Amino acid sequence: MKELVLTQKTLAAVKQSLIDGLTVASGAKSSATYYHGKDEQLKAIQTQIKGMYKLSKELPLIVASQKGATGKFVAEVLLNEFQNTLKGGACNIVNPIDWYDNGLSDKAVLTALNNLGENGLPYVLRLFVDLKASKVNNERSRKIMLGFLWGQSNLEFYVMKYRNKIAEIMRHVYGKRMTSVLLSIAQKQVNLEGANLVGTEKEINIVNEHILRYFNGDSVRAFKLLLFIFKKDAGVTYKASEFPLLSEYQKARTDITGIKNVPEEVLLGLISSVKHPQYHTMWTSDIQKEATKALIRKNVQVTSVNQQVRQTKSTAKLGVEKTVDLEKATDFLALYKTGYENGWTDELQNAIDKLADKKKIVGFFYQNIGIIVDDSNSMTGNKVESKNTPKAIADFTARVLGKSAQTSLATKTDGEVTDLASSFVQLLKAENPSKPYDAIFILTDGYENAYDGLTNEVISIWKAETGRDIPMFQISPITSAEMGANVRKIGQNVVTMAINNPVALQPQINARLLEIDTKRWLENQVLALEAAPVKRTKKISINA
Amino acid sequence: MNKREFTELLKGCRPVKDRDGNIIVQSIMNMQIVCLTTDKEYSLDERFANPLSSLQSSNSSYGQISFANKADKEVILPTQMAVMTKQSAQNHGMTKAGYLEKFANVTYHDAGCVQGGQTGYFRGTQEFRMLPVTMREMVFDTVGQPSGYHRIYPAIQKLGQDTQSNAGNYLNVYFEKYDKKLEQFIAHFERPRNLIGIIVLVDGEIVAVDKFPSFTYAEQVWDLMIRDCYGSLAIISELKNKSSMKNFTETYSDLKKSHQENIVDLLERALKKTKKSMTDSVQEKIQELLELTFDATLDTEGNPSSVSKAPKSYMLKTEGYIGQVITENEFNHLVSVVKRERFDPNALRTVNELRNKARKQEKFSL
Repeated sequence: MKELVLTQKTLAAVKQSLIDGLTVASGAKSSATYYHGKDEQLKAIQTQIKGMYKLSKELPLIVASQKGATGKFVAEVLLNEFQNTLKGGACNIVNPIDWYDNGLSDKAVLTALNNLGENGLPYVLRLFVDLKASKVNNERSRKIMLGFLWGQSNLEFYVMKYRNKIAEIMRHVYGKRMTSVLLSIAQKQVNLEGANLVGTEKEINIVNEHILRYFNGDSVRAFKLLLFIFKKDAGVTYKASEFPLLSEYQKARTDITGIKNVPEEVLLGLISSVKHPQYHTMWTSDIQKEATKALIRKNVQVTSVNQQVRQTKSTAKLGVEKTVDLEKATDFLALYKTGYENGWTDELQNAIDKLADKKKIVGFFYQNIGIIVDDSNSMTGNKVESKNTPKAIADFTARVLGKSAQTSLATKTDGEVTDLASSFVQLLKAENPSKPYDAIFILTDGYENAYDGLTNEVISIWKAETGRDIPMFQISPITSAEMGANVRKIGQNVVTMAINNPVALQPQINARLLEIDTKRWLENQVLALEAAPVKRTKKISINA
Repeated sequence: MNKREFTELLKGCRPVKDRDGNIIVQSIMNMQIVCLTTDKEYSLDERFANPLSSLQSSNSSYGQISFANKADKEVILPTQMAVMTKQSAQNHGMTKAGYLEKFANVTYHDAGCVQGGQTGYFRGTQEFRMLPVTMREMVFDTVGQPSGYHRIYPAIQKLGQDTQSNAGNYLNVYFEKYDKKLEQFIAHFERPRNLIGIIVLVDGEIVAVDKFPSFTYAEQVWDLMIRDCYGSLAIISELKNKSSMKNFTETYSDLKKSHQENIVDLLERALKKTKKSMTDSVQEKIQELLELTFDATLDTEGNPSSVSKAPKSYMLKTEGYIGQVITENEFNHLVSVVKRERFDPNALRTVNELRNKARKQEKFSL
């Protein structure tokens, strides 16, 4: 990489944009918050991204590549990038030679896409569908979509679970005509059942260009998957040795009892169709439906642990006894929501504790910390869309923080309204003089009820009277649309951060360091992008 | 006409307090709210249906609103609900609260237009909002008056002036201008569990009191009350550049002069004192209201008659305040009181002071 082209003139604007962008990226979700509608949240995210892009086109992608960036934010960044095409916008940070000619642009896009995939494959598929809706179908976007889809190591499972969506995306990418050509070649080739691709030179070139350059496997396997995706698989044989999942799916088309490796929602889709041979015996009355759901829930073994935790309530309602190894769950929200809604068990508490331990920040900058958790009613989140989400984020973050520091003291606000000032004083009273706090973390949505600014007044006086100037972080599990998807600040004495997952904590804290040396921070990010092992074609490693 | 004591109107209710016994006061700028609660047995959660989802509203003449109660439960109409519809129809506002029996169809002929020159009638809509509380006084004043479909216009005009929204006779203009701000306003206040009523103060004076039939009902109307109804007070405060007092800093400075304890203890003491003084101030204002006695006039337009056994509506008036109560066998389901804008509570204080002195005086004797 050559030197950054960032000028002193734009440095201040870039710095502020980065700080705001990181906050929005880590906090703004697609769902409604307690206070704001989905549309308002989205509009605020888009405004932030457009602002960053205008300043320098690399900025949104750099922010979207950070760990802990929300799926919605990353998806919007990529949508914006593809809409503006490769040549759109201006590079004011990275040398354009590096960006365009040396492949940094691709690496940035693919790193962001991988980051999006970390949130789950549906996020990526939704982005691709959004690209279709936005009529984005340029060469770069096509190649990246095909590379991503055909590069999935677990493609057999995904085509079964997300069949229609993947078909919709591929039809958009290939176009109607090319889809038809590929399916025609595939049908012909599958009937031959040969391992080697046979056809005219033109056909071979088409298949190589549109499928095999992206796919890790032989052409027949690719063709069989393609025919399945586009529901042209009648008469195609999926042997259990080659397609363990699709072969079961084929069985399930006539008999769903005893099926273990087909996702629950797919089986429900099959049996609820009047064309299914078992429909009249298994799906016509409410009693039959409940019994069938219970049977499926009991048999299916491909449901992720996180999903199983989320299903705790419905599994019990169906009368199914299923042992879930809670300690294998990685989704803290699922664990917490199960606890809030179904009551806490020792097993659940232990699982959360162990997960917090796994997520603790290695090399955490602060040793002795104080933590205040806002436990007021507004932290329960939006009634419909995100019940208890902010509360779960705050509770888990407090636990992760506690695990990350050497010593920590935590206090929760008392009562139903937000009284952070009293909690702050309680925290000070509990401080161990031999291990004074070197940072205080306040986990709150930022709306004080006693009166706006009370906590800030208390902190100001404490700082002035004691001469102590330790960092105070306000961590908000929600961002507010009125603040441009940023955090509503309780006062000047705190540094704000928005997080939706404690994973975002360290990057957020690190981001504060960019205030000291923005240029160096940017250089490190660009170097990290440059070193990212990502390619458009073949195998994109996604742990979805 | 009969008399109603304020203490009687809010009987069974008490302010929500914190662990130290202080009334919890929530503030924004110069506006404060105090939430009221009651014992569970006085919250009639099962009896009344959700007014926002059970009613469908139509009309066939300007200045009237009909409600069809689709629920198999009775409904208490919140005070001064408005129909703000996307249909090609004139928006309307109620001038008061109301009572509907289960599955009843009721027409209120004392409603009013709130959308100037728009023509058309609405059909089967649930697009409900509430009139801003700053209009409440003028709108209540029209109840029982033969002023016709335009009865609410003067209140909208005043709202337009107070909020610099140039609303004219169009309430929707005000909402369109401030909707986003009003939506955000909801975030500033938290609804405590078991809420039964709200007292609203501006510049330390009580300007509105609302009591609801149940905890459930309060939850159902909370967002609308905060956003549509009380939100206008915050809009006006903001336009007047009002801000919160820095009560804590002042209290701390005062305490520091006379106390030598360590800083954290002093902070704690100052915090408690700040909250206590907020409590005392609110308590003092509520105390003043306890002296009020209202003239209560039975209101039967759309509401049950004197011979009915159903809950009845009374319009309440006294010097400085106006309101309404929906009551049944001395049990008050809904109370809605607002201070008259021109009224200076200091006048009431002087009256109370003299009245209390008079009570203490011994009778004339030789």
